Amino acid sequence: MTDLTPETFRKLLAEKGIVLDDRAFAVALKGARHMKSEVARVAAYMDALK
Amino acid sequence: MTETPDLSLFEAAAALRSGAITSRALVQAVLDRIESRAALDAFTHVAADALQQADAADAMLVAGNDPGPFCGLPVAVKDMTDVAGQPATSGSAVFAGRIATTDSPAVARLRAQGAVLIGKVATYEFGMVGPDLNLPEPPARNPWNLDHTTGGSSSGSAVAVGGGLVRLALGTDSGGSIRAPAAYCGCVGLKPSYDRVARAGSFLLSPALDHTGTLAATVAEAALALDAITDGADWRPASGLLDQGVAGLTIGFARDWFATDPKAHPALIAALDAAAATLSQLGARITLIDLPEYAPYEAAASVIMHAEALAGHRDLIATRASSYGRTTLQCLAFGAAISDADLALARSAVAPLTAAMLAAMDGVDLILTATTLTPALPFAAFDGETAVWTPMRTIAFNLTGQPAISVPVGFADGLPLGAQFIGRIGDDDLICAAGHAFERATDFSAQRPRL
Repeated sequence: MTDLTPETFRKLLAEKGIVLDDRAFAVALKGARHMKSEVARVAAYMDALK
Repeated sequence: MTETPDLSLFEAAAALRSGAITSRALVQAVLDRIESRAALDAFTHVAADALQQADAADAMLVAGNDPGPFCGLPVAVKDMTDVAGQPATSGSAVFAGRIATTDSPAVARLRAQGAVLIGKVATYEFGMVGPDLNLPEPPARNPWNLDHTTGGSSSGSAVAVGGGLVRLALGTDSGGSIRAPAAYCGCVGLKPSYDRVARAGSFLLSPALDHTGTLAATVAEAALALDAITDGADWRPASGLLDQGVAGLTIGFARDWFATDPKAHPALIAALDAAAATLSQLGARITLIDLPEYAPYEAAASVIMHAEALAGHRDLIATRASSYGRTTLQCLAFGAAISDADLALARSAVAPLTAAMLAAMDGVDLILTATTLTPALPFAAFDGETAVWTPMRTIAFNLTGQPAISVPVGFADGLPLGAQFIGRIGDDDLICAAGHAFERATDFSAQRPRL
């Protein structure tokens, strides 16, 4: 899920009680998408072991 | 003649016991040095009772009650780790005014040996990210060039040692937070085997990856201190093989692991090549090895770190979100994207990633590679609001739990570089032996910035 949408990320942040201004949100969304790409990288690593 | 603050821990300990100096004189000299080099912004708190601690140590030695090798020696502690009676803010306004009521186990062990807990040193906020130019405390500055950053998160620890304020500081390392600043600031950074030093009493960033360790002017001092703070008796002394040298050891030189990265500074590649040649001349067998691809290690560790960090901060965010620094809160927010299934996946990768790393070490005693790929960045590279990640080769060994030590290996553009020795879990003594042998054959650790 590297295509994490702003709407979805806003919901996830709300669940964690995190409120960010627009500028911080943009930075955090970029980092969150990077996290999802890291998850995908780990998944690919694990798939290659099968 | 060596100035008093520049005496090694061994020289100072001997001088204290011979009566050549007192702890009060040593500590006063260090306090004067801290004050005269205040522009480094290494210390966030200097203990008001430092001289009283020194007097107590002097009294013990005069009375013949020698509690151990650290009696009367000043030690700085990263402000992620509790020292009773001293501020414990983790570099954050979230904990402004917090005073620790008890010592962390590592600090307690040093205090039991009579160490003088001289103060707290700067950290990136909660050990996460930096430098943030908008926090209440200014960021520590690189002693080799005040316009450059220090790396982190044990920023103050590395500056305090690299800048000649103290010979020893405690730090914590969850992804390179001891080794990278040590490399950038020209000192030794020792991340021990996982679980060798208790994590209790330090603010936890990521329990799966957190290590408490030592930053020191030399490998021997870092190893001595690690032995003092080691938890339990199941570990071989880190200082036990210092005089063994490297003759007969097989060192796997993981050159491609950093040298093929376009971000690797040419001077770093040349310095590591020269280090390998030096170790060969000392009698080690150097063999080129291919380590597993770095990216999956970094990926799994990043996912675990951000998920665990957010979990650890959840209650604080609920009540004090406005007190966080901007970059830290942004960075914590990354973790909101990580689901329970994502975290479970990353955790499931630890075992095969560790097995792959150990398999790559088959036939070698330890690994030689770079710590960071560049010297420290200038402050101008940071806008104070956005995290900038610098290329390193450290976090893999937080994931695997293997011991790793960074030692000064040369310079680029007048700034220090670090080489990293990595062993199998429990081989802290072996990496210290290699680092010590290399250090004695070169003069990089002995060089000090002009301040």
